[in-house]
Amino acid sequence: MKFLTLLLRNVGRNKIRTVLTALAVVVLVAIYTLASAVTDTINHLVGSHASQSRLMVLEKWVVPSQFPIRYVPKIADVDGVADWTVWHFYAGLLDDAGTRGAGIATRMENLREMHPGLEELDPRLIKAMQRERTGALVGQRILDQMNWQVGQRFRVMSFTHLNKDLEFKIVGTLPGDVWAHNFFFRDDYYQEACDDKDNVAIMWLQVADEQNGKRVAAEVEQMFANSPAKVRVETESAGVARFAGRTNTIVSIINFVVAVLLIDMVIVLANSINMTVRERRSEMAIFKILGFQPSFILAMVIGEAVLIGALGGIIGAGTTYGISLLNAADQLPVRMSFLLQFPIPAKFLLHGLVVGASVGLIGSAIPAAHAQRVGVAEAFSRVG
Amino acid sequence: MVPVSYNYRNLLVRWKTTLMTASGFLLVVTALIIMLAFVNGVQTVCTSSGQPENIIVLKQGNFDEVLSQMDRRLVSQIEATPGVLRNAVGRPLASRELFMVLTQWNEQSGEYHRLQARGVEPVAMEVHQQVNVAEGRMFRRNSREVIVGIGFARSQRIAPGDTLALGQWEWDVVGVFSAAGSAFESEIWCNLGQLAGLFHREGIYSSVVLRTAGETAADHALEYLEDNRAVAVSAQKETDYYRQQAEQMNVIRTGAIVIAIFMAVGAIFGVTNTMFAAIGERSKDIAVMRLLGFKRSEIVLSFLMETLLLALIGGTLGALLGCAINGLTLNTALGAKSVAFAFKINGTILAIAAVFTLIMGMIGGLLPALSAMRIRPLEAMR
Repeated sequence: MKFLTLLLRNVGRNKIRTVLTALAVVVLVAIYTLASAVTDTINHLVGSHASQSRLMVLEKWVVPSQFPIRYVPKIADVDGVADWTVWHFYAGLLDDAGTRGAGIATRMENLREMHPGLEELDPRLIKAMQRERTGALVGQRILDQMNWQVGQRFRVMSFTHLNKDLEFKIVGTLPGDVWAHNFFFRDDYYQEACDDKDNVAIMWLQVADEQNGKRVAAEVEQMFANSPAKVRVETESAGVARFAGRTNTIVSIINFVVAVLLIDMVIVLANSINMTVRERRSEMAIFKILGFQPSFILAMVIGEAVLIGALGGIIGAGTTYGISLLNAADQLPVRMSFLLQFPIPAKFLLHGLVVGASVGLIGSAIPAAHAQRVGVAEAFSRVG
Repeated sequence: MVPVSYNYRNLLVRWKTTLMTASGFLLVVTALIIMLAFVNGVQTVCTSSGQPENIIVLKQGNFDEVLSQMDRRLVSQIEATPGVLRNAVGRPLASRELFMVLTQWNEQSGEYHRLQARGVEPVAMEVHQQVNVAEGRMFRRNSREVIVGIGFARSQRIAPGDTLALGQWEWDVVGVFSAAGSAFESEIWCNLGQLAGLFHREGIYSSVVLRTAGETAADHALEYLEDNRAVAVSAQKETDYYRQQAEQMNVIRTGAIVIAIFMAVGAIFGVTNTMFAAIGERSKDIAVMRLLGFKRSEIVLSFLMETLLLALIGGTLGALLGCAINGLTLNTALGAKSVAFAFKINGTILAIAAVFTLIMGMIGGLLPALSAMRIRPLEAMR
């Protein structure tokens, strides 16, 4: 208890320095939080649910993939395919300002089972979709961005399908954030409205396990090896890994910046603690004379740094978290689309605290070691 | 004026603190330069890809070649646009192109890779004048021969004489072309008919690039294409098209500046701390200087100078460190394409870094310097 009182007193002694150091940690943790949120979101989107037992069937050579719809029943019949669905892509502009929206037309009956991240979807919404031919299940980010409500209609000016501007009725919201930038709609509506009854873009297969998957993949590829339109089969995780490769450069630059930010924090804190220790040499000598152990002095210096770091960390992360929340709720004078795209998850509050405290620990290690070794005689010889 | 040597000697005496404070500046400047060099590198690729007298024509509603598909009739109509130059044999300088993203199994990595292939006709070399075969020769018609961009050749370690798998066929690499650092350098070029035939895209074109006499002629041709309802296309000057592709870079640039400003604020708090401590330790010095007759303004100036000196050391070292990345080549996604780019530092970036350094030094030094001014000589001497 005494230790804590002493610690707090020490923190309050040079108020300007404490405040400045803490503020430096606040701003650095704030931007650290933002940068990490970007990589966190990217990694989450591309990697979180990729599975080895879900296969994607694609046109063999060309991107974007497209293969004949007559393959679908044949592939679905292959032994080992437990469940399947197809995708058609449909994208366009949602408003005159050029906001883009990406739609996926697919089967409704097994939407929840075939799409990782949609397990939480309310089954009643599926029923509602089956009743509403032009229905759409829309990601939360699109709703936020466009200020749309469930129940209203919207129109997409397509750039993937010329002169096929479709109208949709919002039946419900997609749960979670994996599909937050997409909307799902019925494949029968797509086929009729876009007059595209001969092709599909991707077919998804659910297989029992990885071993089974390899056999199914080989069999499906073999089936069409001599047709003009060949297909290839990949596991979802392999496809995702390739997609993630596209963002590699940007992610590594952000990671580099995050590393620089951490080093920066350590330096600022170390510098500040270093100065504090230098100024308090003689009183540390007094502590020693009074019989306090060197470890006590060590703990005091480190404790002060960790306290300042942790405080700065939680304030920095808390501020960005708060701004992100207010931004999502449209309570700020300017709405930042960047923060809508990369929202700060609540776990970053703890993150900020831990980062701040660790930075305090690392930054104060060397100054604290010096403080611990303060020579009593030497310190007093300077006082006179 | 207080001699500057007073400042720099003080910096030398407290070299540990000086070094730590300066490294705050160093990190800001290094990070800023690297981030901006990335943006600039990618933007250079985009600006060098387009020529202002060229018009790229896509199927109406498309922003990107990847999804655009046009048929023969439409392409002939586009070629008839008035203002399109003709070559020596009287053919219009209109390059029909088929751009395809292909997936290819890579034995070495055991993964599917993406390749970007562009089927062109001989006239393409007259339309895209920045494209030159640098090594080897041009591909022949009706043969499975390709030339590859220098960026692609470098990253895949391919040279003339090698073979390259596209789809299920082996193609001979007969040449390597350079294209002024543009996005084309990340592509594989081959004969249009061959590519279309093998991948069942006969009679389909993704784009037509028209060459006109100059920017004004290009504007006229654009007007014609826009007014002509019968020709359902989206036409843009090539320069605008590639600038649009680089749009995402503006977001990254803004992000870079925001990150740098936050880091700068952190560094400012750091340097303010250091200077307060320095002034606290040297209050007797200041008192002596005041008694010797130096004015308050001179004291303020002296301490501001000291902070700026500190900033300058950190900033210069940071710039040197940041410049080490200049020229490093990497690949990045640009729209649906993947392009090779080189980190590129220019005068503007260095100027931005310099301005950042000076502003950080000024703001960081101001408060402590003002507090130094208020020291009362007689009290401090006690």
